[in-house]
Amino acid sequence: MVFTWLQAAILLFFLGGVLFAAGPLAGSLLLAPKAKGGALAEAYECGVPTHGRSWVKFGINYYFYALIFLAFEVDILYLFPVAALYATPQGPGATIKLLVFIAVLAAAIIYFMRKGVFTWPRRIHVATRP
Amino acid sequence: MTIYNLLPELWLLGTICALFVASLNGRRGQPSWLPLVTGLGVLAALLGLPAREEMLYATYQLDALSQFFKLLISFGFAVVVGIGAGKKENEDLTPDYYMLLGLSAWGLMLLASCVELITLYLALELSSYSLYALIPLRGQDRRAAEAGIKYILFGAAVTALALFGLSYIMAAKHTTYIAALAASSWSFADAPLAVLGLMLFLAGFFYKLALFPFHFWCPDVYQGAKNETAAYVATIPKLGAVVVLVRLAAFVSPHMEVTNLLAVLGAVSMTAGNLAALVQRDLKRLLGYSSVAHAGYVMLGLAAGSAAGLSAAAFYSLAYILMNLAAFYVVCVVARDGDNPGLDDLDGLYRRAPALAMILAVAAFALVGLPPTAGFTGKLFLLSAAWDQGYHWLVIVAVLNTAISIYYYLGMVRHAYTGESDAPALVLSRGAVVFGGVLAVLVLLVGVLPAPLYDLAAMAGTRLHP
Repeated sequence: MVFTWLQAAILLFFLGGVLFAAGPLAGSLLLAPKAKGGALAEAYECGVPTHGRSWVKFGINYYFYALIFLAFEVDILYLFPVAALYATPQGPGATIKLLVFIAVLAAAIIYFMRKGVFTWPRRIHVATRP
Repeated sequence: MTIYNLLPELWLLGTICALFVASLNGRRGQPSWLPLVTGLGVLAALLGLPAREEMLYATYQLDALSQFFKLLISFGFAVVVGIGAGKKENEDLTPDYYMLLGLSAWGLMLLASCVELITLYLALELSSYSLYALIPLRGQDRRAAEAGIKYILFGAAVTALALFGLSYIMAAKHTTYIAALAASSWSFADAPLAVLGLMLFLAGFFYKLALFPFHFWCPDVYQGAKNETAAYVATIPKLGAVVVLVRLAAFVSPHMEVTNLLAVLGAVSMTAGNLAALVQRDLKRLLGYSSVAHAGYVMLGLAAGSAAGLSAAAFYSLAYILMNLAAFYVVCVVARDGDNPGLDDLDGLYRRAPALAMILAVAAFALVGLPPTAGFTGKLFLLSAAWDQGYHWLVIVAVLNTAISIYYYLGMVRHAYTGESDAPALVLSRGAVVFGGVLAVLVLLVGVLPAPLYDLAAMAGTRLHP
């Protein structure tokens, strides 16, 4: 079997790759400061001690906000292919279809607005379960 | 393309928009104009019956099959609205609720006309998403939340399966148009990938229909959802599933792999549904398992696959929604404070509300399939179509199952007529009695004079299988 410089280089790169991945892991294992106890075992660790139990009622306004934002963001993505098509003139038919799409989105916004999703409550009531 | 041909769809869309405006105004309770408008929707669907056209780049087709099912869907929607009209004081029956119901029915109407698989999938999802939102709407009830989550998770998994199957069909056949797909071969030897894909794609509709391996959600969802929602979920979405299965079953001929799969699933579904229904005490669970069994009966016609079989399946779905809506009407009225009624709540119904007991009896006899009801006629067409195509074993299984089902269907009638209870009499308004009476009369009428409606269904069947 002939052992050329190419094969040596491949082996070297392989070793380098392994070291690149394993090195930081091993380094942190050896060098990093170790912490034990305290709030490490908490289910929700954020640096601030938690109050009470996790079975409480809390305002979900923000989640509504976030989910609606996400839904609209995905819907707006559909406009990108349309924009790409507009490199050439598309005529009134295509514009009307686009407007129908946007009108449906607008109807959804109006619906959420009237249902009070966008009115931020002044005070969020947090009630603990007895 | 003339826009008048789309009258049934446009009318329902207009109704949805009106409900949208009503919900923005923060109205509570059912709008008083809704029953009238949905009634006119049935009329619009009747006017739309002769429409024949192909539109929207040949993805959307108005033919005898689609117009027949649009009539059924608008009729079912109107009946569910009518059931809700008797519950003015109910907190959950807001314009939003009816808007979502309408959107779901609208999706099913589009589904009836779709002749391209991607469009068809979109229409199916339109109707499913509204139902995902509707099922948990039951005040603060935990069972409803559980039912909603079960329905969504099960639905998402089956949708993923169906889309995966669709990718196989596209890979093997290079088209998604049903007309082009129907022209090619669907035997396993010629196109193994496409047949596998079709089986997976059909799973999405088996789920809607609650056929055997996909039926686990059905009794739980009916039990958890509001009685009115259950009345809708148990009837109208099945129409959408049947119309697509009828279109797709026209691909295959009897005794091929896909057809035999339909036959076997149908046989298992009837048996499993009927045996499980024997021990139920909750009326909605009982009707849930009964709908699993009925999904199995419809498979008789689809497995036969001939023009007669497909028309029989279409006709049976008509009989199915009529008798189930009548049964659910009784469930909704008997329920105290919108709770789930059990078999014992029917005790002494013949004294407490004689009209209601009579409607229940008609519905139960029809569900068994005894003459002179719609259930009998529908089953007769199904059984003869399957027998003609040589599915003798399947016909025998179906007949044995009918015998099993007599116990629990007539058990409801036994409770209503021979059970005694000292519960107070149910006070029904005259409108409610007339409404239920019309349903019961329709069940009988379709059984006695099936010809006009069967001709419509037969036209649909022969169009697919000339």
